[in-house]
Formats: sequence, C-alpha cells, structure tokens
Amino acid sequence: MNDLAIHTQGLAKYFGKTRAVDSLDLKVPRGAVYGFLGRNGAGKTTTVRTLLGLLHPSGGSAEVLGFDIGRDLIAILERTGFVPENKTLFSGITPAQLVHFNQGYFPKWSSELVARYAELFEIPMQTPFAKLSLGNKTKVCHLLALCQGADLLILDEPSIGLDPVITDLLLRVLVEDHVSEGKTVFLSSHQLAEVERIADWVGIIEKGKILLETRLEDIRQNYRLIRAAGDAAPTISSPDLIAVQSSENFRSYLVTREAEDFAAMLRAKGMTILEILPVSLEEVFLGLTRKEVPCISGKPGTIAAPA
Amino acid sequence: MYLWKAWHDCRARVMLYILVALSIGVLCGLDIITGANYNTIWMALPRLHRFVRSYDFSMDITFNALHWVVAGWSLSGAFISGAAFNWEVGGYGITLALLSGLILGSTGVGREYGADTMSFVLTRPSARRNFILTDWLVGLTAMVIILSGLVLPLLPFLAAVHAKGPGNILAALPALWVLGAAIYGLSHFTTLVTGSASKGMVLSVATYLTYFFLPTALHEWWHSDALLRAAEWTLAPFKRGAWPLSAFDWGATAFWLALAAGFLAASLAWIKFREV
Amino acid sequence: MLLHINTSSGFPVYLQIEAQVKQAIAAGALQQDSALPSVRKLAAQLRINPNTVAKAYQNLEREGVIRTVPGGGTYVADSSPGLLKSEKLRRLRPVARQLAVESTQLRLAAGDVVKLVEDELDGLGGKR
Repeated sequence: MNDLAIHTQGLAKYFGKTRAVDSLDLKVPRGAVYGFLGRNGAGKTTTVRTLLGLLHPSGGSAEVLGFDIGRDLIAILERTGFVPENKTLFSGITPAQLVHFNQGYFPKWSSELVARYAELFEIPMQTPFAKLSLGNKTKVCHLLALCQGADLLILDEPSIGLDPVITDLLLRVLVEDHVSEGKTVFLSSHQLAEVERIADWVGIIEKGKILLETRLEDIRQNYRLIRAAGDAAPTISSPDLIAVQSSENFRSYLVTREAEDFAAMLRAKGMTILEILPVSLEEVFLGLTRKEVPCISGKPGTIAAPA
Repeated sequence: MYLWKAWHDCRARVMLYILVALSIGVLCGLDIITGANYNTIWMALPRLHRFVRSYDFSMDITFNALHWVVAGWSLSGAFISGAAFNWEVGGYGITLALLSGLILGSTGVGREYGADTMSFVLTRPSARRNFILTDWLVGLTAMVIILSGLVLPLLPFLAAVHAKGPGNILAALPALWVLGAAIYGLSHFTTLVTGSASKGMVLSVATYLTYFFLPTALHEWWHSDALLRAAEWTLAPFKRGAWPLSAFDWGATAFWLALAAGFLAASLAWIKFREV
Repeated sequence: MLLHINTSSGFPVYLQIEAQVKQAIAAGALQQDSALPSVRKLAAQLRINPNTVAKAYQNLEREGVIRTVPGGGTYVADSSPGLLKSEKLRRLRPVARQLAVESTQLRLAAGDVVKLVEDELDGLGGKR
C-alpha cells in the first residue's frame, strides 16, 4: 500500500486521432482534497472515466487506492464513491428505491447518514427521479456516493444545479464527515473559489497532460505576481516563470518561487518594480491556460510540487 | 442490487404475459371439452380465414413459417387426435414467445446506455457479466413461466377427455422454452447493441421478418429451397403430424439452444468490451 | 467562537484565523482557559480544509496564545506570562514598523500616531 490514493503513470486515452489523455502523471496523496482543474475538453472527465473502468486506457498505467485499474477494478469500485458529470439516474425510480438498490453493493453503507443527509439537503425521497429538478438530481447523486463508506470520493462537477446554500452545506459535509476522517476527495470542478477553499492540492490538466500539480500552500507561500514597468522590456526565460502579461510598458510576471530574486533580476535589467502580490488559484489557472498569452514555462508538465 | 432492478423493470409486463398465456391456455382447454368450434375470430374475418386456410401447407416445398404460425391461431375442435394439437401449441406458443421475448428482452440492461445511466450501473462494484446474467436469470424464468402458462392449463382438460395428446404437449414444451430463450436472447442483445428498447425492438422485428420471409423470397425469386427446408427443420418440434413421446426432436431444439447460448455469449462479450 | 474568514481576499486564511482568535482574546470575548472548537469542527464551520485550521492552531500554540491538552481539547493559554517583555516587544516590532511606514507616507506627526494607538487600547477595555 503506498500513500497515494490515485497514481497514474503515462496514462493515455486516444479516440482515433484525438489524444484526450496524453501521458498523464497524476499523484493524489491519501487524505488530500485534490482539485482537478482544466478547461472544457482538456481531458478531466476522460481521466475520471478511465480511472473508474468506464473507458479502457490506450497506454500507461493507473492505480487507485493501490489497486490496478485493469486487474482489480471491482476492489476500486467497492471503495470509491463517484458522482458523475451527468447527474442522471434511473428515471422511474424514487431516491428511496435508489438507496435500496445501491446499499446492497456496499457493506459499509450507512443508513443513518442517508437519513441525516436526506433531511439536511431537503431531498424529496419519494418523487420519481425523472420528475426531480436538476438540483435535486444532483443531491441524490451525492447522497448515493456519500453514504457508501468510501475511502475515496471522486466528484465530477459536484455543484451543478445546486444553489449556494446547498453548495455550502455540501462543503461542510465533505469537510466534517469525510476529510476529517482521513478520506480522500478528488474534485473536478470549474468552481475555482470552492476548490480553493477546501482543497489542499491542485492539478491542472490541459490537452490531456498535467501542466501543474502542487499544494495550494505552495501557491499561497511562493507563487507571486510581480508588477513591473519599464521602457525596454527584456525577454525573460525561466523555468519559474509561468505567465507574462503586457500592456504598453507595463508587465506582469507570474512566478512560482523566489519572487524577490526574480524582481532583483528585473531591476538589474532596468525595470521598475511596482508591486509583488500573492495570487489566487483563478489567476494561476488563467495564467496557465488562457488563450491570449499561453504558458511559457520551459515545457508543460514540468511544474511539479516541491518535495 | 441489480436483481431487484431487473425484476422491477419487467414485472408488470411479465404479469401481463402470464395472464395472456393462461387465458389462451384455458380457452384452448375449454375448446377441448366442449368440442365447439371457436373459430369466431376467423368467422368475423372470412376473407382472411379463407386466405389462411387456402394456403398450401404441404410441408415439403412451400413451407412458410409465418403462415403456419398464424394458421395455428384457430381453435378448431380437432384435438382428440392430438395431431393437430401441436399446431395450436406451435401457433400460439411461437407467437407468445415472439412477443414476450421481444418485450422482456428490451427491458434489459442495454437500455441504460441510451438513458445515460450506464456510467452509474457500471461503476457499481460488480463484474459486468453479472448484469447480463441477472437479466437472463429473470428473463428466462419469466419466459419459462409464461410459456408453461400457455400449455399446462390444457392438461386437466385433455385428461378429462382421455385424449392421447398430453405426452406430445409436454414433449413440445421444452422446445418452446428453448425457442423462447433464443428469442429473448436476440431481443436482449439488440437492446444492448442499440442502447435503447425501441431501437432494439426494431432490429429484433427485422430479424423476425427475415426469418419468416427470406426463405420464401429465395424460393420464389431465386428458386432455391435451401432456406425453406432449414426453416421447416427449425420448427420441427411443432409440426402437424403426430409423433410419439419418445421422438423428442433433439436437432431443432439443439439449434435454438445454440442460438440462445450464442446470444448470451455475444451479450457478455459486448458489455465487457464496449466503453461508456 | 464565531470566526469569519474571507477566502477571496489576498490575506492568507490561516493568518485571518490567528488574527481573529487573538482579537477575541484581546477583547475579552475569549477568557483564559476557554475552550476552542476542535480543528475538525472549526474547519467544517468555516468550510475550509482542516490543514489550514491545524496550521493556524499550531502557530497560535507556538506563540503561547493557546494550548492543547494531550487527551484532546484546545484552550486559551494564560496570557503569555513566561515571555519576557523584550520578547513581547520584539513580536510587536513588525506591526510597529508598518504603522511607522504608513504614517510617514501620510505625513502624520508622532504625537497623532501615539494618540491613535492609545484610543485603540482604550477601546479594548483596558487589558493593558
């Protein structure tokens, strides 16, 4: 048993010529809350589906909770709670019946949690699934995954259709009943603010490859946005520099570490430093993936967490 | 668990078909006792009746399975000989097998592809083959009960008239079960492959029509009886003509059994390899 | 204890927690030996990762502001009696420097700044 809840090595999934997942190296530590971020079409959902055996990998390997996805898929599914991107379940069946369907598969199922969450999230347990609103459908999907007694939760777009109050409750439930119990949460989401709240690790995927994988603490402590100005803006190349924005004679440099040293180097090249700011997760994400000024670090996939 | 779902999805239709089967069985049984001619349906449609009856049912050359099956829908009184009886069992039995097999097969797990719920089903901790096997367990049990429900009610009536028939009926029953299994298998597989109940049924019905009409077409237009003879052979267990209890038709029964097993294997392979 | 943190400001969450706990103690809302919520409870209440709360608590404990009991439970420590005055002043120096820098930029006289600080201390109800 290693200490990684999810570990992929060179994982690949091709659909004809399209490389949806291309040599992916993912490392999700046990007990972590890992935010898996990426633009639409970057490969997030393909990765999740491959980890859960819905798609067969084209290459590479992956282990979830120490089990190989090819050989021991059932062991993985016994221990993993999954909320899929499309929140669709059997249409003619009520949530209460869905609970009955699901609980037979999981020895660690908790009926007590079912009752508690059904009340907390205000889930109409006797209404046929097809007649529920999108928000209620999402809640039912969460209910089925959260009461399983899972060691790993994989949540793909968990807040779809949920109003802010329910999203807030969901975060509380995740932190209190799962993260605090040492369970791993793998969260794939566009809601960067939510991810920033509860995640302690983050991985950014783009065109099927990992662009960045690091602790959030690293981003808070070391990543800085250096605002500078100068008449002759030099061309800078550095493995620590992940994005540059420029407008007239203003420049913003997003660096991953040693911001002070970088600023000193800029001064040496004749630029004036205006400010050194901490950056939010959203700014890091946009800096890496926005179209106008794409990532200019050495090569993609090299931005890894410091040990 | 999935067993609950498989049963939940088809229970209403199973109940309906059991009821239909029992009703037909009892009606046929009453016909035996009263010796009356329940040809009312055909009397109401005299032209259809004449058309069906006038068709040459000589088994050797112009065998046409569909006409043969439809002709079996009559409730004529010629039961005592036991000879015509298998024709009725064949007629109603095959029709019932075709319908119930079609409907029950289409409630299988294949529907979940089209309903977008397959990613939920296949992330339950269960080998994929278990979903197919569970469907088949429920489906086959239902088919056996439905088809038996057609034939078994006849036994007390036949006993009452001391008919020589009963042994032949019971001999025909396993063949009917196996035929039903093959039809269920076809429908289950087409639902799996197309991902929806309605598309699966279209494909299954297309298969039925091919089985019924291609041999005749080949005979009419290309003057080849090969398929006609083959189709005739597959329905041997239900042919008119008395045969002793000992002459259970292994050949055709084995054919339908192999077909059923083939569809099961095909479904198992499909669900194993298809991605969601 | 009721804290309020803002995850979208640039100010690190663990520092916000530390600051608010100290504020509460300074204002007398938390007395010596009052119990603080567990890491898990506070994290759930604030909807943040428990590691962030744990970090804040560790820092507060290192500074002697709070103490943890082996059996579990976190309490407000008695007001740093073990620290020398020089140590206390050393801790305060960065805040003082910032105050000095900003008041110089705003061109305020030293006397005005001192009055400002005295007003704030009075507002806390004489815990000096």
